[in-house]
Amino acid sequence: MKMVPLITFLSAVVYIYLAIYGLRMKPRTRLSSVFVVLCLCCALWAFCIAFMFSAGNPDSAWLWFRMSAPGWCLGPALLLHFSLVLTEDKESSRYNKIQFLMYIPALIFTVIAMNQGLTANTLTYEKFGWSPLNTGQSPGYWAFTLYYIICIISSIILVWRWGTRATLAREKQQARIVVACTVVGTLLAFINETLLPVLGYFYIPKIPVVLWLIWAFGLWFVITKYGFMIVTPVVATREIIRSIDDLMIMFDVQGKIIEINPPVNNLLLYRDEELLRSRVDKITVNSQAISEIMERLQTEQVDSVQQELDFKTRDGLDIPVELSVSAIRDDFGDVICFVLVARDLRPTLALQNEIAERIRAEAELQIAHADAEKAQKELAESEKMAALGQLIAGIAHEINTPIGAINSSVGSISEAVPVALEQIPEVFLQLNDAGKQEFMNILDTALSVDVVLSMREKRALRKTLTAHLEEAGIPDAAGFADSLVNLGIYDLSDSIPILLLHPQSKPIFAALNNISSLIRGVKNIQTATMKVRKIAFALKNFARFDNSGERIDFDIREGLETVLTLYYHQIKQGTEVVRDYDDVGPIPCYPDELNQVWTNLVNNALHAMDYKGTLTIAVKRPADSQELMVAVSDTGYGMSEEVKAKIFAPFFTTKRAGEGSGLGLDIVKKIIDKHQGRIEVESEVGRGTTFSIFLPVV
Amino acid sequence: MKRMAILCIDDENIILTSLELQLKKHFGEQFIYEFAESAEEGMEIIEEFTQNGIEIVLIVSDWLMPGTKGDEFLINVHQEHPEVVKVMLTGQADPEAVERARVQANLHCCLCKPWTEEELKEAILTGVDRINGK
Repeated sequence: MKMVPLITFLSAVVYIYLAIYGLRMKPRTRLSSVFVVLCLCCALWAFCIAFMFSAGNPDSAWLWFRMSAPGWCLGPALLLHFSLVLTEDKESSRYNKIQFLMYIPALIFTVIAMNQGLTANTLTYEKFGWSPLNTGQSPGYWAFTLYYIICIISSIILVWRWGTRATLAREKQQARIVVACTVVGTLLAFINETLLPVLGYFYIPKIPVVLWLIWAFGLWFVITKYGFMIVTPVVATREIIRSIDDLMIMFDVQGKIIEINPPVNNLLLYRDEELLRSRVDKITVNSQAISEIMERLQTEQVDSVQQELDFKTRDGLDIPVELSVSAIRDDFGDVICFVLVARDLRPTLALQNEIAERIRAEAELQIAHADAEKAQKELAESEKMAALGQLIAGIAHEINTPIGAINSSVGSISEAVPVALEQIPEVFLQLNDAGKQEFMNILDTALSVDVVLSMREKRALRKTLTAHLEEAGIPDAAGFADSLVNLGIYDLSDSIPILLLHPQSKPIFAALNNISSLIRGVKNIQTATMKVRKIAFALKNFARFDNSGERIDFDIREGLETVLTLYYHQIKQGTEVVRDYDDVGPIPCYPDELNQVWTNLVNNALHAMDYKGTLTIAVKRPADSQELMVAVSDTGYGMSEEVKAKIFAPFFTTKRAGEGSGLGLDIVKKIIDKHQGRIEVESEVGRGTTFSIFLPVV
Repeated sequence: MKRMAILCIDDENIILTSLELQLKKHFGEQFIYEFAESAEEGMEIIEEFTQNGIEIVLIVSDWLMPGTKGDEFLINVHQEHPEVVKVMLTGQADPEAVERARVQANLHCCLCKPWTEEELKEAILTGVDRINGK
């Protein structure tokens, strides 16, 4: 095979390869489609020309030449089309519809060329094969040449302008390469095919289709190197519009829909053709809504309007949307079209509802939680109050006792004083010096008595004295013995007072009795006052009202004593208290709260042994330990393992309904936890229980 | 003449002392006065008096005491000595206990601490009248 047809054939193969390359490009765009068609045209052209060159006779060569006409006739138009699409902008896209016009001459030329020949009427056989003979005489030839030149130059100018206007360096570079390759390729082709024959060089091989490969190579280069044609801004914009989840509708100033994206179809269930060129009001519930927005955009010169309204689907379902309508204006500020972007509000509304629902549920939960907490607090408080109420009743009794004693003693004294003042001078008149001396000595003894004897001891003393006095032959021995004991005279073994032997012993002792009543009354009041003071002190200690919330150094033993004092009333009913205290000194703690612990433990211990038994309170500090131990033991019923396991659980109680809330030990545990201490319980049924509290010393 | 005695029972010494002073002041040697710090001690005294032929006319007892409570003590006494007038003197009157004593020990009256001299005097006088009137 000869060289020229071979090269031509190979170029056909290259064009087909490029066409396939273009077909494979993703995404498929109008530009790549035009590129593919152009390549196919060139392939057809090259293919037919290759066979023309090597045809066996003039007829088949002529046939192949005519077959190649669609390729070279449509080529320039496709090139121009390619350039137009490549450099497409808003304005040129408006002329999409008239782009087919430029194919009219191409089609006319094709028809003529295929029927009777256009640029050549005859073929000559040269050494490289059959060649069309261009004489340059026919008007069709000049018309085609003009058409060819216009298309090529327009393309070059378009791409050149596009390159100069491009803002991206990449696009500029692309434009330069495309322009250069187009100029070189088409210029060479022009020279080869048109210029040289006109200048008289008829017998050169005419291979413009091969020379066009230079242009094709340039395109291939920019495609592979710069991703040319893959994404142009227009393509990208369209792709973005298609891929966004929001609804996008473009409509013109009359409100007719120009473009929509798939989400519109999906949401509103209309097909493209049902919406395109329809009025945009079709999709809204309120048919005036969009018109009003358009009115605003046009008259108020604002760029966009945001609003919430309802769309209506093809099936009549209302869909709440949030939309934004923007006016697209030309350079004169006139509105060209509108872009509506809308978002289905249902997921947002559903989410908002869900959030509101959750917030409400959360709030309800918090309220319920707060209620439960409050209820527990109230119960804990009522437990405290119940314990306090019990204490107060006991304390009231404790206070009433000394007050009763004071009250009665005051009455006795106030009446005894005038009597004594009357009696004493009279008695003194009866006495000699020794008698007076003894009288004064007896009063001294009475005043100096500071040991309170029990009634049993007094009775024993009285008996002894009575026997003694009876032995001495003194009448009314029992009466005098009583007087002597009250005056603090317990022993008559040394001598019998001379006053007892005095003939006026009766009135003398009446006076002495009166005075001893005064003294005993006063001492009674002192004792009673001490008791009241002790209770008041314990009460004051029990509630220190220390609200600082900080630990203070406090001697645990003081707190225990306070509680024991307050419980004295209950304890004295039959409980023996054993104190086994080490000298531990103060430790940092919350004294008020610990008092509550001791109250609970003492109360439980007393309850466990029905107020009869031994209450042992031990305070120990092992020498090598960082802990202080307080153990409260009773000799009560003890607890089974089963009960023992539950005692710290809130609301567990072994007391009868109404006697305990079951929160006592729960509170104890919380308080001890607050002190970072621990509790141990030992219990044996029938033997008793010991609660041991361990508190950190530092 | 058979001597009459008044017995006071209270676990608090100061109460007993107060009662002694008041009783001696008002009734002097009209009665023998004896004082016990517990129900058990009171029982001993009652037995001793009975043996010595001393008639106890009136008992004033506290209610809340270690060991035997006042109502129980008075009821026990009542079993053997129903003629004795029983008075309760308490700082914390348990209504049930008082009622029990009233029914089972024929309680004469119940005084509350702090008591007044008049109340005590009245209780003893009416109590003694009750015996004398019988």
